Amino acid sequence: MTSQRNGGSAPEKTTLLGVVLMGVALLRPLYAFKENRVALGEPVTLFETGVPFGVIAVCVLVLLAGILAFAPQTTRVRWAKIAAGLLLFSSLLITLAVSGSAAVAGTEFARVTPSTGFWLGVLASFVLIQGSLHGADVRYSAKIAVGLIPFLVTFVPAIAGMLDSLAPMQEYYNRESRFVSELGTHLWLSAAAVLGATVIGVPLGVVAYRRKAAERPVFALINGIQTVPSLALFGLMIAPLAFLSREFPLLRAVGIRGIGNAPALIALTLYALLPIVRNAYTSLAVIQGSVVEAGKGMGMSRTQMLRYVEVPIAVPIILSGIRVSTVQAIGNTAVAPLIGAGWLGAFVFQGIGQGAPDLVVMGVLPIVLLSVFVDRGLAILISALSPTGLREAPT
Amino acid sequence: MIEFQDVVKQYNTQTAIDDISFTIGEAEVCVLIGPSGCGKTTSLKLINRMLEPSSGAVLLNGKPVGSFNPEQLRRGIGYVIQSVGLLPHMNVAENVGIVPRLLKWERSRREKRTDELLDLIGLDPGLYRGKYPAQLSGGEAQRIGVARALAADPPVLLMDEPFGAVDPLNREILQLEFAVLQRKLRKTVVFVTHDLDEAIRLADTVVIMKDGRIVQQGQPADILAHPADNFVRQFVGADRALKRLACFQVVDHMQSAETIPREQTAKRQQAPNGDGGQHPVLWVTNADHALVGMLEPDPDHHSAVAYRPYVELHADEVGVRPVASLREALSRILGQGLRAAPVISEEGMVLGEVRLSDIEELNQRGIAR
Ligand SMILES: Nc1ncnc2c1ncn2[C@@H]1O[C@H](COP(=O)(O)OP(=O)(O)OP(=O)(O)O)[C@@H](O)[C@H]1O
Ligand SMILES: [Mg+2]
Repeated sequence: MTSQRNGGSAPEKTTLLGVVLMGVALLRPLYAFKENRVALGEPVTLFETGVPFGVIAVCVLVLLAGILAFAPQTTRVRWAKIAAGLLLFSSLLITLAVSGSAAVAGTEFARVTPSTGFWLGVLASFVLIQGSLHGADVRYSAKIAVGLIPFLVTFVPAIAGMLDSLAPMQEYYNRESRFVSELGTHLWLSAAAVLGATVIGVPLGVVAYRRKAAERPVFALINGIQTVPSLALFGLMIAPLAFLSREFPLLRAVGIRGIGNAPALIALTLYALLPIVRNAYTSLAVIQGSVVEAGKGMGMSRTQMLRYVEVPIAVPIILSGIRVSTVQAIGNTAVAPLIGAGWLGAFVFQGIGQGAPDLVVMGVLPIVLLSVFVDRGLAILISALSPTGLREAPT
Repeated sequence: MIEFQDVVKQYNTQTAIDDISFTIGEAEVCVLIGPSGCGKTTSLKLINRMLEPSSGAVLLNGKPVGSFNPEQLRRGIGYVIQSVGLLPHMNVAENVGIVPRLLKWERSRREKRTDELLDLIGLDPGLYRGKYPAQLSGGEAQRIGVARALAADPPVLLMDEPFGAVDPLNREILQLEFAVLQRKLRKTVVFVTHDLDEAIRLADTVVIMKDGRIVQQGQPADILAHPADNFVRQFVGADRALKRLACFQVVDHMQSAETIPREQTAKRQQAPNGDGGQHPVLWVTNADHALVGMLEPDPDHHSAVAYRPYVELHADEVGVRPVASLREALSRILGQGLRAAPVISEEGMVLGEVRLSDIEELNQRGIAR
């Protein structure tokens, strides 16, 4: 690493970025106090929170990170920066929770909305942590452990009710049962889209590789689909499906209509195709002719070739295509409410419609978290399934 | 035994093999050599049915290879492919053990065999067993490719430029090892190379190919002595006489040498006696019979035998081993400006000598025939 050659002279850039971000965060309001759901908020900076412990902790940590940026980047210094980042995140959240609870105490509708200062501070913490983890000689399990800490720090107080003063939590309580069912629908819809795309996409990729004549049309088609904006694609689906539904009562009976789940599912599946087809194609293309020839020359039968050569090399690549598709699908599903399907995205659009940004945050956060968890989980799974010689650390 | 009968192989319109016939005897090393694109690899692939001939037949032990099940056939023929082709997702041990695995050997037997083979090709099993192809140098990968072909101990080996990526020094070591091994294992080997020296060193018969045809085949020494046409003459090079010497081993052309102990040299110089110059050099040994120096007859002297002053020698600079080639012996003779080179045992004892006059005569005889 270049940072190791610094020898205390030039600062480590990523750390410095984190410190600067945090510096800006200190000048911005940590949260806004609102009398009720749609009231304009009064901004409150960290220094106005009346939580001296929080102010001191944050300032000390920023200073520490600033000093560490100029130290030689040894393993120990890296871990110190990671710890500083984790503590910074925790301090901000605790300060927010403590000050927010005090502010809303005794009121009925008042709440606090995390503001730019808070979000910038969170970003600064993650820059510190990620910058120190990246490229460091840290075991993958340690990276996962570090990554899980912020979630624990958030979820445990949230479940314990310590974050109840926060506006997104209030929005959540108002819709708790719907939230759970929407989350479930969001998950199965994304999963169904990816499953469909896998069933269609893998054979399509294989055909595109084996039949040179099919290669261009296949890729032209799926690349074309990607360029259609999602809203337009959803819209395009309405007319033909409405027609089918009218003409065939059977289809109507199983819930296929111009709006709702059916068009959304089809559109999501189409979007999920590209990474899967592309990786299925690549997985075969990377198997070198010499390897196949060697296998054949040693007397492998067609099935042995599949079992010993083609599947072990191709499957991890196909799986990483599915991983990309899954993360994409989770994000795309958020747009589905626009054609009458529900799910987490519905909260986002409701929030926008009602001018309630907290509701937007409540809808967006789970989508982001879901994407991150699914992405990590699949990365670990793929790494475990890959033959050692081809294995890379999950990224 | 492998026999090509009027074999033609066409790729679409191009004729890669144009009616070739030749026979490779049991336990023989046959080297196919020729310019790039002349059809060497194609010929190999016709033997293990990676390709089928357009016409004609390839016989293995008298039966057309077309009559064997291709997978069974290939498992019984070790195949080192030109581009190595190690399986990238398997480590060295798994790569070497792949044919035994196809043949359903037990794991313990496979592992034992793998280590044995790694030792054989000069790679430490402890160090290399667990490595992956991406972690190997080109030369190491090639050697693993050879080990893989040997794994199931097949009676027939097809080797397509197996040492092409190995440095000259290690290549020579591998060639010598291969020669030693072959004397023990006695496999039928078809070996493709671009390297004429390699062909000379290893071949029982050489087949020189050009544009899908055989231009000459025979023992290396014969081909070097009598190139069939201008192409072969050019191919074997202007130094073919020298190359030809590489076909002969010192042990087969060694003469008895005359040695005297170091302490007798002075006496001998004062009172020359002996065979009247039949021995071109008198080798001087120490108490352990190891070579330490020499006395050389002085041809300018009037008397029948007179010696020049005693000269000290280093055995490993002037001496050759019995297994060395005459080419090496000649190089030693010329290097020292002598008329003979001593043949030295591993302990430095003088076993005999190779004389310049014998080499000249051998050369004359070869050309004259
Ligand atoms: N699969 C193929 N399709 C068409 N032509 C081929 C094919 N394989 C080989 N050829 C042609 O056949 C001829 C002989 O090829 P071959 O691979 O046997 O040469 P080679 O003697 O092994 O050459 P090199 O020393 O470069 O390995 C070449 O002209 C080559 O272009
Ligand atoms: Mg070749």
